[in-house]
Order: sequence, then C-alpha cells, then structure tokens
Amino acid sequence: MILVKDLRKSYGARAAVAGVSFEIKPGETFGLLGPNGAGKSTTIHLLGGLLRADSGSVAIAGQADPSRAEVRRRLGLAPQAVALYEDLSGAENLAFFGKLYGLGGARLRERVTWALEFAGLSDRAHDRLRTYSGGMQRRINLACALIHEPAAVLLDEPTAGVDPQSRNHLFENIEALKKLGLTILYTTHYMEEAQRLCDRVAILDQGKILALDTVDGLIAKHGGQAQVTAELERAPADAAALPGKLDGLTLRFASERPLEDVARLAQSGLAFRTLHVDRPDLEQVFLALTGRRLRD
Amino acid sequence: MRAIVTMALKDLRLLARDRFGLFWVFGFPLLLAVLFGAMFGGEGGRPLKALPVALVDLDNTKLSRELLARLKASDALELELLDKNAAREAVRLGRKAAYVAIPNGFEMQAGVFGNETVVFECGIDPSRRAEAGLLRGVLMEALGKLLSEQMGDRDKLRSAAQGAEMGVRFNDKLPPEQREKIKTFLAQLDAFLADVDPQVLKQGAGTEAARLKEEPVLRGGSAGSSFEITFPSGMIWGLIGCVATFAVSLVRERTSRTLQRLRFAPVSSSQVLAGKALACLLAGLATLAGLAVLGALCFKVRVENPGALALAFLACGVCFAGLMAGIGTLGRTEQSTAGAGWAILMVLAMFGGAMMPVYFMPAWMQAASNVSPVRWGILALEGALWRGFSLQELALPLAGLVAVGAAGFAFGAARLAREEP
Repeated sequence: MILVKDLRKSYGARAAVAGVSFEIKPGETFGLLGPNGAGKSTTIHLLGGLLRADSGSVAIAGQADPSRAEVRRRLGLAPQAVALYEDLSGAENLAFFGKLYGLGGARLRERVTWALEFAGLSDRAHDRLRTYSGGMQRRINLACALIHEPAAVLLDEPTAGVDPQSRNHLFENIEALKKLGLTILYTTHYMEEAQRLCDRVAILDQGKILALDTVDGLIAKHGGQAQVTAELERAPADAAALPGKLDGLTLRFASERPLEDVARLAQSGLAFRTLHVDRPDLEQVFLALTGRRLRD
Repeated sequence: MRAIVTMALKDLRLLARDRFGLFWVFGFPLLLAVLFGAMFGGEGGRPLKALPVALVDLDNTKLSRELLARLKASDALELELLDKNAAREAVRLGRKAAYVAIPNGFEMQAGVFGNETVVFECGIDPSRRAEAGLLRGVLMEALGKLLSEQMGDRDKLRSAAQGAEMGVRFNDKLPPEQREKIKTFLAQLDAFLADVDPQVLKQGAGTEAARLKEEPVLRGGSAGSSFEITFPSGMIWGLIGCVATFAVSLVRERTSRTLQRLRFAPVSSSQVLAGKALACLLAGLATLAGLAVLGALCFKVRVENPGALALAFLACGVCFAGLMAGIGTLGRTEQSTAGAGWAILMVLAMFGGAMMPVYFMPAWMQAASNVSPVRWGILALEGALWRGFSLQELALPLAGLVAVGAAGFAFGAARLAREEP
C-alpha cells in the first residue's frame, strides 16, 4: 500500500531523514517509534507530499508523487496538533473537510454522522470546537482524517498530551480502524502504544531506521533477557549454586526462559515469597540499539 | 472552483462569528466616513469653526475701527481685541490661531490717496499655517470693502482728497511741475465732488469690484453633502479592514496547523490562497455595498451611475483581495503579518488620500500618490458616485486596480507554493 525507498531530507547540514525505506502492506498498522526529533513527522510530511524529498521515492497504492490530488484522496492525515477551526462546530469541521475531498449531499451527511459516532461526539456535534475538552478535540482531529474514507491514514503522534482516559478512547478508535482493514502509519514515542497497536514497528533515530520487525521479533532480536526478581522465604543452603545475585533474601537474575528457570529452582527446594518477571520491551530494544532511553 | 468556494464560505462563516473582526470590516469604515463627513461640513455644508484671531489696533483711528468692525462681521473669524503682548501670548499658548496688528499710521497709509503700502504684522501659530491663507483672504476682503466704501462716500472722499492735497503741497521730493499737476487734479476732483449727487457717487463706486461665484463642476447637477467626499475614503478603509483581517487569518491557518491540513487535502496552495482571496473579495463587496446603501439612505450620498459603481466595487475588491494574498504570505506569525500589513496599508492610504486630502500634501507626495492604488480606488469610487465618470474615464483606474490585485495574488501564490510546513 505504501512503499518508501531510500527517502532523504536535510535542512542545511542536518539530515532529518537519512535514507529511510519501508513497505506497509494493505490493512497493516505500521509504527514509527522514536524519540522527539527522530524524523517521524518529517517522514509523514514526505509521505503526504507536504515536503519535497531531497532524494528517494514514495509510492501510495502503486502511484508515485503523493502531491497529486488523486493520490491524496487515498490518504488521510491526523496531524500531531489539533488542526481544526475552533470557531466551527465538530459537524462543520467534518463537513468542511469532507467537501474539500469532493463529498457532497447525502453522502457527506452520512459520512459526517459516521465520523461523529466514531469519535463519540454525536451529542456535541453542533458545539463549537473551542468548548471541547482536549481529548474530544483529538478524537475529532482523527475523525476528520477519516471523513473521506481513505485507504490509508497517517497518524502523527495522535495521543501526544492526552490524559489517560482519552488515550484509551483513542486506542479503541484505532483498534476499530484496524478491524475495518484500514492501512495505518502510526508515529509515537510511547513504546506501550507501539506494542499495543502496531503489527510491525520501525525504530527510528536521527533520521535512520535502526530496526524493523514485529514487536516480538524486535524484542527477540534486541531486547535481551527477562529480568527475574524473587523474594525468598528463607536463606538458601547453597547460595553459590543460585543464578544471578542474592542480596539478603532478594534474588535477581536474567533469563532467556524465566518460567522454566523459576520452575527448576522451585523443584530444587527454593521457596518463593514473591516473584516478579520483567519481560523485555521496546524500551530495552531502543536502549540496546542506541544506548539511550526513548524519553531521554 | 468548488474547493475555493468551500474555503471562502468557511472563512466568511468564521468572520461572522468574530465580532471584533466584523467591527474592523464593517463598523470602522462607516465610523470614519461619518466622522470625516461631519468634519467637512456634513449634509448642509455647515460652516467650519471660526478661526480664533486676536486683533491689535496700533492705529486706533476711525478707519482702523471700521476695519475692525468689518472683520468682526465675518463668520470666518472669531475676533478678540487685545494689546500686542497679550495677543502674542494667546497665539503662543495655542488659544488663538494668529494675531493681526493694524499698524500705526494705517489711516494715512490705507486711504484712497494713501502713499505707502500698509503692512499688517501677522503672528501665526506654526501648527496652523494652513489657515493663514484664509486669514489673508478675509483681511483683504475687508480692506477692499472699506476702500470701496470710502470711494462711494462724497464727504470721506473730499476729506481724503483735501488731505492728499496738503500732503502733496509739502512733499519736497516731487518735481515742482508734477506737484502742480497733482494739485490741479485734486482741486478739480474736489470741485467735482462738491457738485456731484452723493447717491450717484455711491451707486457708482459702491459696487464690488469683483466677486467669486463658486459652482461645483459635475456632469449633471449640483454638489451634494460632504459625505459624498468622505464615503469613498470610508469604503477604502473598509477594504483595508478586510485585507488586515483576512491576511491575519491566513497566517492563523499556518500557526494553528490548519494550513498543513488544507495542503494535505487534494487542493493546491494557489487554491487555498484563492479561497482566502475570494472570502476577502466577498466581504469587501458586502462592506462597499452596505456603505453605499447606508450613504444613499441616511447621508444623501448620490449614486450617479450604478453600473459604473458596481464595476468600481469589483475592481477595488479585486485589488484589495490581491493585496491581502500578497501581505498574508509576508510573515510567519500573526504579529509580524499584522505589523507588516498595517504598515503597508497605512502608507498606501496616506499617499492615496484616504487619511487626508491629496491637495494638502507637498508636491512630491502628490506625485507619489499617483502610484497608490488607494488613490485610484478613491478616484474610481468618486467617479461612479458623483463625478459622473463615463466608462471610458473609469477604464484607467479600474485597469490599474485589477493589475495591482493580480500582481499581489501572483506574489502571494508564488510565496505560498515555495513554503514548506
């Protein structure tokens, strides 16, 4: 659906995007995970034809040059900031953008109704946007990207600055879009979001893709071992035979197969008061790949 | 085109919901037109406020008192008799626009047979120099009437002739033969005045030498109210208000990221700008039409040629919508665009005669005003409203206005196309 090859964009000496390549299959939710300034928004702008690439190519549904109107009709964009008119109502904003994409008459009304229901804002349809909460504005921002039924939607950090309740609401919206079979490009610097929503994730840093795979594949390749922390009932007879480090009654060790190792220790007579297993996640992947944390 | 109209309607809807913006587009120009109209004399051409002048009578003769009485009778002056020091102080403090001192010896010098030029000392407030001409005119008119009266009064004329005869008799500077000739003439004049019927003399000499008959030069009829002069300027201010409002709204699209969203939609940057320009044009036309209707209904502003007025409205609207498109792409923030916009528009308005009449300006500024579209706009509107311009006479200002609009739009479109979000 979306094919990106060796995309490059520089501002002076600084390379914002330095040779990015990936392919997003139809119906796939593809994540671009990276810290602020990694090049996620620039990549989205290049995909939508808002920026001209220095080199490389972008093809949407087999068509090059995303600045062409027929290509743009197949794409939807939910920008990072709420990019809507505060003095228009939710319904008026939706209708306005629907008309720009060529919708009209009954079809437009039908799509506006759908979008308001999708955003859970049917009861606030005619209130001006400035009266909406931040979470509501985010939802209508997303709904506006979908008003013309695009084949693919570009979501640029859609949950940035949103409270946890609204974030969950947005997750449900995006999961609903996945079920509808929409192709989604999702940028975020929250690894939990990428893990929950994305089929595949590209780790982006300083304009380059450092790794690209499914979440499990990335963790398996780059996440390292699980961390096991156990509080023991009593001091073991042979502390030297235990894996890892014993600090008083607290045992910590790393393991490829934590459950199997814990079962083996229990069989050997070790009694556990509490047990905690930290599976590796994308944070560890990013740390392993860059030596930095995502939010550094 | 549908996308452009959609964007224009959105902008008009947003404008309708912005009361402050509406005031600048519709309220402010009306206020200006009415205020300036009232300032220039209103409907009935009411007189301007009289010029406050101090008069110093250093001669204190019958003739100087008669001049004083004549000046007091003038509606144009608000006269107060003061001594010289008090008069100077009143002007310095700004309480009087000027003082005029009638010189010592005025009666001798200014009589029918006066032998010297009368020099009035006139002290002017430097901030009111423009009114010196009015004062000079009123003073000369009063002097002229005074002398004319003297000529028609047999007794005064005889007394003046006798006084002159005395002066000539003792004037050593005159050659003797010339002195004799003048004395003969004055003696004959005295004899003539002694015989002549005073009424006949009064009829003959009391007639004013000349009078200015003012007539407004218009194609068909007399001048209307002063609002006819000020409403075209008010209309231009309405368009300037539209330009400022929509130029800032274009930048607001950028700062609120809606421009990014519009450019992601299947519309070109030129279409985005055209939508904004169309909204500006429609708001401008509504302002112009509203002011024209209000002017006609409430302020006796005539519309000589409605067809030509419609063309003038359209050309002015196109010009200012184009200027908006250019100005709106100059800055990247609302503050910088508003600052640059008002600076450009104020200069255009100042040179174009929307702030003060062009004839008040120095010669170089009057020459520079010819390149201001504001001047062409005012000329086109005046031409259609009350100057009775034909279409041929309107063609040049209209073409200039449309050309400026097209250039402004092309400039804005080129800048917006180059710009990256």
